[in-house]
Amino acid sequence: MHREGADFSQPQMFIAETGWPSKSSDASNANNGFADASVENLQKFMDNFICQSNTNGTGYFYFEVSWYKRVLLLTVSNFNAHSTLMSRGRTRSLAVLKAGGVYSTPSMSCSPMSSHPRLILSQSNPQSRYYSRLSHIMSLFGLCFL
Amino acid sequence: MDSWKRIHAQVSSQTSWYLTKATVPILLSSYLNAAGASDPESAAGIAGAAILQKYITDTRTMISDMKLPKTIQVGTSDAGSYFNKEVLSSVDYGMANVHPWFANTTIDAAAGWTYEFFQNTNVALAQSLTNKVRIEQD
Repeated sequence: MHREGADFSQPQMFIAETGWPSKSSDASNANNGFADASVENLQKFMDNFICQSNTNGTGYFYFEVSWYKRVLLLTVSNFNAHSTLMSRGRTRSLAVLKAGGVYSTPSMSCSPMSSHPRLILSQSNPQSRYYSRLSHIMSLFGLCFL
Repeated sequence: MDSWKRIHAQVSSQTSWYLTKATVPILLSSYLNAAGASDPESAAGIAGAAILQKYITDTRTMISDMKLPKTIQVGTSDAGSYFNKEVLSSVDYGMANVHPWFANTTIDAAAGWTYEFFQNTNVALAQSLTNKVRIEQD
């Protein structure tokens, strides 16, 4: 049976997805007019964004990458730093997807805090399928084999 | 561990045990894009919101029917520019995609722009919603 609940509190907002492209698949999109799509810029964004968000309390998520039976696991996670994948010694890291599925993992200046959900850092080519693919994965599963 | 599962049409009993939150991934963006519109409060946005709200209600009903031992929050995610107040009034949380690259920022301004957009657009909209009544199910 339906009933009307008490006053609905305001929805809590998070940044679900943010990031910076590590590369463009075509020369015309290699720059947004003010900055290049590059791993260096992605690293800079990630350092700035996580440090900033840890300070100002923005809730965010991240993709976590690990290997399981030779399969790359991409996990969208908000569990705390002491649970599951973390405690198995896997590294919280940024995945930079490239053609062919190769990835690299820049380090972070600030670590996601355990006290609130974490982020995403989406990556890859702004005009390629990789960018939208990550969004798609995020939308549908949260946990996916690539 | 808490896991935020995204569910589409249904959640199996196996995964529901681990649910603490559910996100309805029907994007208002897709309705706006299909209609060639960009304003989430436009006629196309409001029409899309009505459909999305139905999914949200269905999701709450479905979760309620599972009689899980704890309350499951239901939220939605969308492009940061495409949140609509009717939809946000129906959910417990919202997840916004905010991409500075597409706003043509410099790299030095990117993180700050992301925070400001999120605060000024998404958090501000959420905070403008008061005294809303959510339909709960017994």
